[in-house]
Amino acid sequence: MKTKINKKTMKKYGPIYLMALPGLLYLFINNYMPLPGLVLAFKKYNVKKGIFGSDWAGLSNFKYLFATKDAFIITRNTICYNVAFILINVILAVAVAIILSELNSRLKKFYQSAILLPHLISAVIISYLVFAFLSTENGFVNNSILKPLGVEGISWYTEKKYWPFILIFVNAWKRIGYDCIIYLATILGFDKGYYEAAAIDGATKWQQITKITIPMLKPTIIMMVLMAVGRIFYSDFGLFYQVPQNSGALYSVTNTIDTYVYRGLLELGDISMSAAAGLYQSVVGFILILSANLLVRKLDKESALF
Amino acid sequence: MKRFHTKRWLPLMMSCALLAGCGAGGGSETAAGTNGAEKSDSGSGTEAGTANEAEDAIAQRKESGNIPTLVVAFMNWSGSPKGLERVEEKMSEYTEETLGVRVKLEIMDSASYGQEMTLMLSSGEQVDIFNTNYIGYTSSINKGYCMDLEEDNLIQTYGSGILETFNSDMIDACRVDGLLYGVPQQRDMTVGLGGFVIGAEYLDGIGFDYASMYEEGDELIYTDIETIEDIFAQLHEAYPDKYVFAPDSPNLTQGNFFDDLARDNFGVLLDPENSLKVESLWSSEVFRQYCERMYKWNQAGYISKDALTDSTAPSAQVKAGVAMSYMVSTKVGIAPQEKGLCGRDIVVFQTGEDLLRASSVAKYPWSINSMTDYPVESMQLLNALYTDPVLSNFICWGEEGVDYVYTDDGHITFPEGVDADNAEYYNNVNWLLPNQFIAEIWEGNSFDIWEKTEEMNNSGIVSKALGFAFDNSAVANEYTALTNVFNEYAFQLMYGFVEPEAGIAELTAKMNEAGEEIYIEAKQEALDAWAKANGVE
Repeated sequence: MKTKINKKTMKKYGPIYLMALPGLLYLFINNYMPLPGLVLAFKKYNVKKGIFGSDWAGLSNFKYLFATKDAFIITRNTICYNVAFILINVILAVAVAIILSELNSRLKKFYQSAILLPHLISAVIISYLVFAFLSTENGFVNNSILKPLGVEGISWYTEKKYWPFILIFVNAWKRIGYDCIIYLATILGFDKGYYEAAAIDGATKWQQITKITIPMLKPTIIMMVLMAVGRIFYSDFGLFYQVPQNSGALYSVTNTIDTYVYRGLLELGDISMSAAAGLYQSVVGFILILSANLLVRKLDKESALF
Repeated sequence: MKRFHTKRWLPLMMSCALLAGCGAGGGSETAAGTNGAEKSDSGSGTEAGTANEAEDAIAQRKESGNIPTLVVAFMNWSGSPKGLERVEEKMSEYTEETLGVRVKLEIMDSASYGQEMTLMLSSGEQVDIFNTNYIGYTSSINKGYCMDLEEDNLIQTYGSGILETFNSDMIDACRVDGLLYGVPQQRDMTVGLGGFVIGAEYLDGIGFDYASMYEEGDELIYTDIETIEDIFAQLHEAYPDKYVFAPDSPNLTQGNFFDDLARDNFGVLLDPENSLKVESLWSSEVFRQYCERMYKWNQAGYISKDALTDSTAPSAQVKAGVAMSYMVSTKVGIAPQEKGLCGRDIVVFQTGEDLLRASSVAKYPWSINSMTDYPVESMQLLNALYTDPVLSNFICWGEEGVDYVYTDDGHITFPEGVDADNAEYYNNVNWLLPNQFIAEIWEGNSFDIWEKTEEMNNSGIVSKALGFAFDNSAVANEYTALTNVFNEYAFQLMYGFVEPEAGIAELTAKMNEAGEEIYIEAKQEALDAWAKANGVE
């Protein structure tokens, strides 16, 4: 009897498991196989002795993270930027999706592609697009905007105070095209009947948007936000490393955990210390995901991830 | 009797090691181990015996047809040269005949060399011989990249030519904790501080008479910083659309009189001729003056406003006609070298003293990768690079007839139609390569350039700590934090973007916070111990 059920379920779900296999394999190779390497965080790595043969170093590899304010700064930067990105991207992406859905122009497809385009450009190219605007000597902003206004040019790559805004702007420009596709697809799936009924009752376009579109979009928004929160401890490396041109003067506002780990491994050549930073990132990220999910489950059980 | 036995079996053991090396990487370890044990047995033999061993090893390789390809890595300024494969092939043809190995050169530009090599060495990619510039000699040792060259008498047996090239104290200067992990190269050890390279056409443009300033037989002009500032002011006025000065990160040591012990700037000797007191550089007079000067130049508009983010080499900026001058540390032959880099006529000025720093000898030694499958072969190739003029010519200058031709008087120069711009193998890093002294001499240099270099090496101010190397692994945490602070705060000061007084105060405070005192203390302790062991007062 038991085997019969198993056969039946296998027949029913087998192909689906088969379809998931490549993905699971990828997940295993990419995310599980390197796990034993975490032991490096507690070792003094020596190539000759290998990963497991190297001497134990206790917690000393973590010390440098806390020797300066680096740990605080990189954690603060990573989380604050990501929170800002989530908020601003959601608002803008939903707004753009609604506007696109209301458009009846033949240019609609063109607009959509134009907004999506930045998502497909590599970070290095973006960094030079930004540089073309912000170069102190030859940049567009200093020469074509500030100069005619009689304002003195700004040395953008040494002034910390502008960078939170620049990074948020660049990130929004890069991301909303992609995000709004999902919202747009959802909106296009709504029953047109609601809008027709509202129009007959004399609702304005604004009322239709706030009373129909947004409430119906809510589950999608919550899902997207939750997924973003799950990655709040990871930062877009290209954005934080390439776009500020790796300018040392901006480290305190552009250094995130990922760039810190990168610099640690490549410029200072210390694998153990980078592993320590990576472990720190994973552990705090894990705690954050758990607590975010706990919060969502308290508020709305249906939307929680697990 | 026993020696006879060893010698008979050695070639066989060797070929086993080779075969295993060609197969799985893991298998070779045991074979090489046995081989090594045999070697140390025979190490007690006579001089002739060791020479035979080296020859036997070569003969054995050629006989068996098992010719390994060895990877030799070093940096240049412009990345992998176009003619690389051609030169490699020519070199390999030669080394196959003389050494029974083939050669692959891994040449990367200075900006990526450190990072790329760290990745290659830590991930186990094949690198057999590498130069430690930009990776850092002591940090390479700490991470286990460098082989102990005296293990099983490797260098004594297969690299005796290297030991004969240098005085024993120069070899000893590369020792860390008594172990030899690398060997120096033949080059200028004493550097002339505060050298400035200025494009000759610009000096002509402002009517500056430099021709009369050369003293008999000199290739550069000794002057003071005020003269340079005067020239800069005139240059700026005459060529307002070009940058007067292109700053670069090594300027700190190129232009200032202090001894950066172990080549990091955290804890230096401010009076290296007389005192072994390790002090912080940041609160020193010399650093303050330097920052003030750069600030003045920056405010005057001599420096590109994008200097902090622009990583183009200064000589490349002069070559492109964007900038007019930059800083170097001078040596014998500096003028032809920089002329080649800039692709135009230049004048070199020197404003500072000649100084031999503690780390000069062991600045960027050549090492053999501890993970190599071919320790014996690598040592033999390295030995040949120090002793074989033909091989040295290949690595320094490329292929005769294509990359260089002989002039009537015996110099070498570019062939017809080739110049610094379109040359296919012209690295301009001969000071980094094992032995430029035995290679041909480029046109524009005097034939006695290397005698003069040795003279200069012996004439400048000598740091009391010469030969001291610092193993910073015990204070690696502080080092990492200090490096971060340096990258974040020092460049703005050194390129003159920040008002010195406030900037230095901030830098000093951050350095203290990052534990510079602990680092300096560790350095002082190591230096004192070294001084005691070497009888330096």
